[in-house]
Amino acid sequence: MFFENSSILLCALLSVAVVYTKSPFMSLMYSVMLFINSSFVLMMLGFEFLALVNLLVYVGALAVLFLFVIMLLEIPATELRAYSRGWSTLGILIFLINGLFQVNPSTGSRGIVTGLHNAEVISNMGHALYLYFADILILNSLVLTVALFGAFAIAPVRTAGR
Amino acid sequence: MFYNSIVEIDLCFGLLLLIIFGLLSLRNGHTSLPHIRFLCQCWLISLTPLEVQDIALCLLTVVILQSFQSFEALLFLLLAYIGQLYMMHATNLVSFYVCLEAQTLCIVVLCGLLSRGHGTSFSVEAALKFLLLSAMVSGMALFWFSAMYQRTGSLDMIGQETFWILLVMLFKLGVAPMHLWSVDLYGSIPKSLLLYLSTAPKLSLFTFWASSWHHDYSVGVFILFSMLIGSIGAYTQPALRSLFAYSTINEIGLLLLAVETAGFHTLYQHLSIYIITQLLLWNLTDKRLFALCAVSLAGLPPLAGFFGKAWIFWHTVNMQAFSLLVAALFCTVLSLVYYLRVIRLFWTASVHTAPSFVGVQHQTTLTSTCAVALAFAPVMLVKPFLL
Repeated sequence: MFFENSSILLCALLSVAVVYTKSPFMSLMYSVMLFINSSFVLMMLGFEFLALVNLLVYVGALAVLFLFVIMLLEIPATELRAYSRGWSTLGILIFLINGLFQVNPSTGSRGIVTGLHNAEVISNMGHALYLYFADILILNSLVLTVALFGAFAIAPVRTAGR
Repeated sequence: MFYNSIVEIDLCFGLLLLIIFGLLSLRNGHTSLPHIRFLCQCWLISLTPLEVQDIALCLLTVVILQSFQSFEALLFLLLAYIGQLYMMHATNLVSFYVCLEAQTLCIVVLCGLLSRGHGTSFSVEAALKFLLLSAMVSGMALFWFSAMYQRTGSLDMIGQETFWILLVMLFKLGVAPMHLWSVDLYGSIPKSLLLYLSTAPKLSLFTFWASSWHHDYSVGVFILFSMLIGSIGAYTQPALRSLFAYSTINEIGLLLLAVETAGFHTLYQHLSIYIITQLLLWNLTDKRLFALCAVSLAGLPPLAGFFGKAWIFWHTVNMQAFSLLVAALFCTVLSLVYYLRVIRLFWTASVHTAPSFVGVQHQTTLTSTCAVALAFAPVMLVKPFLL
């Protein structure tokens, strides 16, 4: 119990550290540590597929994306900190105060309506994605097409007079 | 699984054919944009919409497609149409979220897309603001979806977290106090996209609300906020766009009052009158018709806007929500000030067509149909009041 709680506490501390460090590179490093920690917490909760997918997507794609952004744009670190003006502190204070007024979730029995009985997580995931929500999967592919196609369509065109 | 998703596969196949045809023909220069636009409109109608709201959305999109000039804009409108069509029939939280994101992303891309020809940075700024705010709000919705799923184990919209999800839906509608993005957006995007933004998402969200969303909380606070901000906020606006942005917030407050007290038939009636008014408003080239729109929006008889509002207020009296009624009447009187100013300015204008409208093609069929509809629809709406 102590181990799980301390991992979640480490998540919280790392996310605060992402906001409070002065250099963007350390911010990125803290966020990579946060991703790995969150994947670890998910693994402890029993969501193995989600933990692996988190690791793959967040660390493998998003952190590398941010790394390239930091490499290509030379961000002066002191300017970042100078413009912050205490909003992060205010945000954290409000979050803590809100945390004191949370509704306690009920601990009654939960039935997962759309799951297969006695199946593993991966089988349930496959059943949900490809059988139960099959049409929504195709709609989701349309959304991803919009995101990709839109990025191309909005990009500035270099030819004259267009 | 194949038979579950055959409709979507058919849709995507048709869209793929449209994309290939459009790109090839635009490259070769054999056909022109009006032909491609006509094919897109035929594709829309060929999906055989079954219910009244489907037919309304299809016709609305067919009409709105007429105003757009570039091929990519047509495609994103069609993709948004698919998202809206499925949102109107969504019964699951996951499908609602995916369709909402489809619609929102298409509008964001359209905001950024249509700024290239005009060369201003306003549209890019508007697209960025809308993207960031709606992404944050959709993230919040997803958090409460997962909280609801964790608590009840089902994705069918039951549970105590409906208030937060209601907030997200009201944000997308442009309800005050979450209205700032719509005021900013109204001033910065071209007229055709503004026409689309103020009609189609509202239709699809309200249809989703009517068919599958059960809200346990009263929206009275949002009604009061929207009507007050919509009627008072327009006093200091010099530009016509922001004036009508605030009038839209006022109308959304009135539509929420219809949801709260009157029922969904009254909501659809007033929403259709509002959509016809918006179609007229943003397709105008003659200044005097602005005055007609303003009269209808203000709710003055004998135009159709009066009867939409009268029905809502009649139901409010029936439900005995007198405080909401007094507030709504007070805000209607307040909003009359700027509507009358618009009427006076535009009816007695010396030049009837603004010089900036000279090169634009006139959609006389559309504007005349809408004007006639607004003026003569009361014939069909007045009967219950006379009996």
